[in-house]
Amino acid sequence: MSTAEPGTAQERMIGRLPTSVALKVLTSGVLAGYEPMPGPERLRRSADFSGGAIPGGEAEPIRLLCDEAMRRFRDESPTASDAWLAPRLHYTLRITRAEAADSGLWNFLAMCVAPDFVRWRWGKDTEGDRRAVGQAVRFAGPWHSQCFSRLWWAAELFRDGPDYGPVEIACRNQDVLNTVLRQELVLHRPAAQALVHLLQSRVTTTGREVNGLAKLAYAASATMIYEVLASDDPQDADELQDWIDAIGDAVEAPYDRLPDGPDDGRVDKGSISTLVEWFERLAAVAPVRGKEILAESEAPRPEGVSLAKTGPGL
Amino acid sequence: MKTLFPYPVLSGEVVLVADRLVVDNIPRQWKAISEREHVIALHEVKGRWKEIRIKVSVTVDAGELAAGPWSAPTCVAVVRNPRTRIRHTFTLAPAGNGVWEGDVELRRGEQLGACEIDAWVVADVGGESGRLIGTASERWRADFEARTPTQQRSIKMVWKNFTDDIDLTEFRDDPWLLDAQADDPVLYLNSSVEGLRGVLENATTPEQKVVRDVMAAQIASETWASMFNAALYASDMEDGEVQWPGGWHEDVLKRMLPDVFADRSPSEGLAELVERRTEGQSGGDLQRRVMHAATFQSRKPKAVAGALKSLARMASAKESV
Amino acid sequence: MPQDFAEWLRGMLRQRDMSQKDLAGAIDVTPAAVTAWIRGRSEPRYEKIAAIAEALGVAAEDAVSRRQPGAASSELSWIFRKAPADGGREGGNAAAFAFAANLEVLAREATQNSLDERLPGGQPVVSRFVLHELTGQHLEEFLEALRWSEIEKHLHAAADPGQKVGRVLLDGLQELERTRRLVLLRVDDYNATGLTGPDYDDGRFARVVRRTLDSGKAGAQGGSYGLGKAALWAASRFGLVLVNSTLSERQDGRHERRMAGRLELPWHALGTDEFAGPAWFGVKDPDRDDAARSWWGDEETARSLYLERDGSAAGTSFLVVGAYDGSGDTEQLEEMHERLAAGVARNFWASMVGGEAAAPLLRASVASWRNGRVVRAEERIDPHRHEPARSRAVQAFLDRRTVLELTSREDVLEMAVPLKLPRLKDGAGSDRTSPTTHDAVLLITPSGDDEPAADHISYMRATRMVVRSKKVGDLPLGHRNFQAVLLAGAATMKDTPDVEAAERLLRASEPPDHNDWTGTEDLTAMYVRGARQCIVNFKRLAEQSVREALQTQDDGQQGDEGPEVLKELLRLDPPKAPRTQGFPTIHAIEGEVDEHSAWRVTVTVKCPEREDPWVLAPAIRFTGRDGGGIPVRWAGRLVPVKNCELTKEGNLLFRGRRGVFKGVTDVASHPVPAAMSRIEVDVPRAKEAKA
Repeated sequence: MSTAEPGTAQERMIGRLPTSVALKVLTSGVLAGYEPMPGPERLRRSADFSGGAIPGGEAEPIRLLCDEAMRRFRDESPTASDAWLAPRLHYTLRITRAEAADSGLWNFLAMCVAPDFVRWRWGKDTEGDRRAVGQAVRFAGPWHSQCFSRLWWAAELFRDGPDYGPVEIACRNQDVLNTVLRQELVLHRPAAQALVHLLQSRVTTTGREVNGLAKLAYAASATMIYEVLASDDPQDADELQDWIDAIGDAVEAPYDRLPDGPDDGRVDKGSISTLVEWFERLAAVAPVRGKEILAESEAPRPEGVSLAKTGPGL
Repeated sequence: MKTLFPYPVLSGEVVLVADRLVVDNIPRQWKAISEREHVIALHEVKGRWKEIRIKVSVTVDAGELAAGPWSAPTCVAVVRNPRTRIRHTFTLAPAGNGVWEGDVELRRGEQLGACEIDAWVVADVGGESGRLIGTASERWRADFEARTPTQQRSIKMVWKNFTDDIDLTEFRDDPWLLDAQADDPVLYLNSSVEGLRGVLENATTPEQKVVRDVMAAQIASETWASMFNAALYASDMEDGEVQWPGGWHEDVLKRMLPDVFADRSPSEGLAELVERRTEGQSGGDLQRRVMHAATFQSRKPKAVAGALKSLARMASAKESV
Repeated sequence: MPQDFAEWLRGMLRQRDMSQKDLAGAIDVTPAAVTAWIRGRSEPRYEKIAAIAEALGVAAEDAVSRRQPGAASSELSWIFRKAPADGGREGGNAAAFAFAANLEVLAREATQNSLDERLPGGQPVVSRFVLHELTGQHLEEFLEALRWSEIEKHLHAAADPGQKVGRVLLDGLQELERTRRLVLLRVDDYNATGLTGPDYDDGRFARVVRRTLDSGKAGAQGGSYGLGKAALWAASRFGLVLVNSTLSERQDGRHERRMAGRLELPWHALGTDEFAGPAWFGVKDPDRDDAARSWWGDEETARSLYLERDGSAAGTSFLVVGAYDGSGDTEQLEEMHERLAAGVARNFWASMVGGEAAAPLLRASVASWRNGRVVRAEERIDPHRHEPARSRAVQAFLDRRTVLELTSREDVLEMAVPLKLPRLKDGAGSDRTSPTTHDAVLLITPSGDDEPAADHISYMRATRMVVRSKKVGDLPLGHRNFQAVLLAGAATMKDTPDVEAAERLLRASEPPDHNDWTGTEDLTAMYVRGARQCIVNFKRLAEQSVREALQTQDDGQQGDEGPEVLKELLRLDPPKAPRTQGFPTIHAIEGEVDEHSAWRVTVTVKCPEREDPWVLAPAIRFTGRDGGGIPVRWAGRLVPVKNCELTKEGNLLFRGRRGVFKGVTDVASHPVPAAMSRIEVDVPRAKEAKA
C-alpha cells in the first residue's frame, strides 16, 4: 500500500480502501456516533492508489455531488436523494463494471470522501445530537447495500444507453433498489426497461408489485427464456470506453436536468414491449399464490446480510 | 439436482465446446483451451486486451432434435460473470445435423476473475415460444487468473512484511493472517518472520519437512475455519429458502458442508446453520463441526501422522549411529 | 520369351510322361527331328508346332509362346508330404503359432504384405476383404471343386484333441458337420507384384507357398511376405489357404491365374502311411516326389474355387477356407465383417489418407456374401470416419497445410524430431558423406473428447502402417485432448539421402511383429554400438516435443503464488461430488401437469442405511434458473407407495434403501401456472418430536 504524501495530487485522487481496514475502523461506537471516525488522512494511508484502475478519478466532483444532495434534500427524507444522485454519480464516476466490482473503491468513497453523506443518508437522529448508522454495510458492504455502490449499479443496470431517465424512475422506489436490483432478471436490459415501463405507465403499479413480478418471472424463467423472446444487442464497448476516457473534458453533471450517459446502444423498443406484455400476462395468469406475491405488503426483507454483520456468536 | 419440466426436453447430451480463442483479432494458442476441464485459461491476456472472441459450438442429437414435439429450435450461448453482473446471450447459427456455431464476446470492462459460458437450446413447444429444452451438459469457465486451463485453483496467497504495512503492523508477530473480508480471500504470509518462507517453500532436511507439513496443515485448517465463518455470514434465508451466497463463499460452503453435516444435504445443512445464526443460538456444537471439516480440508490427520512417523524414524536413526 | 523352345518341349514331355519317340510317332516326324528340337539344334516350323501342341494336349498358343499350359481341373490333386524317415513329427506350422488367430491380426498382416508389394507408379494398393458364407448346394459345389474328399480323411487323422492344432481341427470338422456351413475369407490385393518367381527356389511365390517360416527379410525385398503370411493359415480352421495370383512379371510365359493351395496339418498317419503334415494342391510335379506345382488355371476353375479376380491388375488373392476368429467372440458374418474393417482401419488409417501432394498408399474395402448373394455390399474403409483427428493430421501434412502454432481444433501442428543415424558395422554406405541425422515429422492435432485412445502418439514409416500407438506420458495439467503422429523415413515424403538410411535403421529396429522400434538382433548385427540408444532417444524426444507443445507458456512467475505445499491444501475449485451421500437424496422424479394444472409426481428416494428410519419432510418447489426458486405446497397428504409410511404430522418415515411416494401440488400455492414451471423435490429431515 502506497503512502500518501501530503500536498500531492494523490490527496485528490480516488483510491481503494481494503474492506478489512474499513471494518476495523467501523466499530459500534463509531457507527452509533459516540466516537469519531478516524480522519481521512489516516485512512488514505491504508488506501491503494496503484494500478491506475480509475485513471484521473478525482474525489472532488463526488464530494460536491454529495454536498449538493444534502443541500437539495435537506427538507425531505434523505431517501429521496437516491433518484437524484444515482445518475449523477454514474456520470461523474466514469468506470467500467470490472472496476466497480472492487469494493475497495466504494469503501474509499464512503470512508475517505464523504462519510458525512453516508451518515446523513443512512443515519437516524438519536438523543444527544448523535446520528447513528444502523449497519456498517452502508460504509463497507456488499454491492447492493453499500451507500454508493447500490446507486451506481442501479444506474448501470437501469440506464437505457445514454438515457438516465429510467434510472430516475427506478431509484424513486426503494423496493426496486432493495430487492429488484438483486434479481437476475434486471441483468437483461430489456427486462429492466420493461419493469421501469410498468412502474411509470401504470399508476397502480407499486414497487412491491414490480418486486413480485420479478419473483414470478424468475420462477417462469426456468422454462421460458425471455432473452430469446426479447433479444438485446450487446452494448458498444468502444463507445463506453470513449465516454470514460473523455472524463477530463466532460462538463460537470448538471444539477437540474439529467446528464447524458455513454451512448453505447439503446435497448430495442420491440424487446421492451414484448417483455411488458409478458409481465402483464404473468400477472394475469398468476394463480392465487402468485397474486399474493404481487400484492404482498410485508415489509422489505431486513438488510441483515453482509460479511460485516457482527451478529451473536455461532 | 433432478428437475422436471412440464413438457418434453432433450434427453441426450448438449455438448458445448470452445473451439478457438481470438484476442483482439489474433488467434491464440489452442492449448489455452482444455476440453477435458472445460476451462479457458486467460491469464496470458491479462491486462492487455480489449475484446476476446471465443468460437463455440453446441451439438445435440440431431435425430432427437428432429423427432421431438418442438419446432423452430434455436440455440444461444450465455456468458455470465456474477461479479460484473454480466449476463449476455449470443445467438448461434445452425450448422446442420444438430450443431450450432458462433462466437461469444468478452469485453475487458465487463470481465473480472472468471466468467462462465453456458448454452441453452430453446424452441417452440406446444404453441409457446422461447421454451428451454436443453442446457449444456457441462459449462465452461473462462478464467482470467488461470495460467493453465484447469479447474484447479487455490486461494490467493501473498508474502508481506507485516512490520512495514500500516494495517498489518499490529499483527507484526503473527506468521500468517487471513483477510476474509476482501472480494476474494487473501492469505497473508509474514515474510518478516525469519525462516518461515524458507521452510514453507524450500524445506530440504527431514526436520524442515516435518515442520513444513504440520505448519501447512495448521495454516490451512485455520484458513478454512475462518473462511467458513465468513461464508456463513454471507448466506441468508428468503421465503423459507436458503440463499446460497455465490462466489467464493459458496465454493467454501460447498466444499465444507458435507463434512460439517455428514447426514444432511448441503442446502439443508446451510439452512440449519443460517437459522441457528439468526435465532442467535450458541454455536458450541457448530464450532466443533467446523473444526472437523477444516481439519479434513487441510488434511491435518495425514500431516500429523506423517510427522510423528518421521520423528520416530529420525529418533531411531540417531540411536543407531 | 522366358525360355527357348527346346527347354519348353523337354519340360512338356517330362510333364506328360511322353517319350521323344512317342511324340515323333504322333506328329509323324523322325525321332531325330525331335531330338534336334530337344537339343536346341533346330526349331519346328509353325505347322509342326501346332501338331506338337495337339499331341501334348495343350493349346497351340502355349507352344508358340513356349508357356506352361493351363491345367484342366481334372489334373489337380492334393499331394501330402511323406513323413521323414527319421520319424520326426512336426506339430504343424510353427509360424502359425506366432500369431493370435484373430481377424484383426489377419487384416493387419495381410494388408502389410500388400503394401510391401505395392507396384511402383503411384497407384494405391487396393486391398479387399470378401467374406463368403456357404451352405447347401453352394457348399457342396465348393467342396467338390476343392477335392475335399481327398483331404477329409487326413483332417480327421490329424485332429488329435491332445494338441492345440488338433483341437482347432476337430472343432472345425465338427462344426462343419453340425452346421454344414463354411466361411471363406478372400483377401485380394491389386496393383501389387503378385506371386512371381519360380515354383521352388527363391521368389515371392516360393516364399509364400513353400517356405512358410522364411521371413525373407534378409533379402533386398526386405519385410516382404514375412512371417505375417502365417496369419492367413492361422485364420483357417483347417490350416487351408488357396491362392490365385496375377503376376506383374511373367513366369513360364504366363501371368494370369497362377493358382495353388497349401494345407498345414500336423504329423498324422493313415493306416500305415505316415505324413509329415503339409500338403499342396496343384498339378503333380513329375520331377519331384510328392510335390504339386502351381497351375495356370482357367476361369471356370477359379470361379468354382471362389478365386476369380476382377480385371487384369496384378496382385494376389488368398482364400482362407473355414475362416474364423480364434478369439472366439466373433462367429457371425456381420461381426467378422466389422472386425476386419476395424483391423484395417486401426493399423492403416494413415496409409489410406491421401492429399494434394500424394495419393493414398492404400484403398481397402470389406464385403460380405452368403451363397452368392450380397449381405453387406462392398464398403470402402474411410480413415476419416474411423480416426478423424489422426487422419486429419496426416491429410494436412500431405496437403501442406500444417501450422506452426495451434489456434483452432482443425489445425495440425508440424515439428521436426531429429533421429540420430548410427553407422553401419561393415562400413557399407557409411563414409564421410553419409547422413548423420534424419528429421522425422511430428504432427499434433486436437481431438474430440469422445474419440477413443486420446493423447496417443502413432509411429510410422514408409507404408504409414501404424507401427505402434502409445499414450504420451507426463502430460501437463489441463492440456487438451490431442493425437500425435510421428512420420519417419520415407513417410516424411522427403527426397534426401537420410530418408533411406532412416528407413533402413527403423526397419532393422522392428521386431518380427513390426509393432515397435526397439533394440533387435538385426539392429545389433547391422549397426555399431549405441544404435539402440539412438532409437530410444528418438522416441523419447518425440514425446518430449509433444509435451512441450502442450505446455502453457507463462509458468515462470509461479513463485508469487505462495508455497506449493499450501496451494494443494487451499484449493477452492468445486470437489467432485461423490455418487453416494450420507443423507437421503432424490433418486428419480417422474410426473406431469394434470388437467387441474397441478403437478402430479412420483418420487423415488434413496436413503443411506442406518438403524433409525429416516423421517423426511419432502418439499417441492418451482425452481429458478440457477436453483433456488419458490416453494409450493402439497395438496393434502403425500401418498406412500413403497418402503415408507405417513407419520402423524404428515411426514414420511422411510425404511430400506429406496422408497417411493406420490404427491400432488396445491395449485393455489403456485406462483405461476404449472405449465411455466420447472420443479424440484427435496427431502430434508422432518422437524418432529420423537415419539
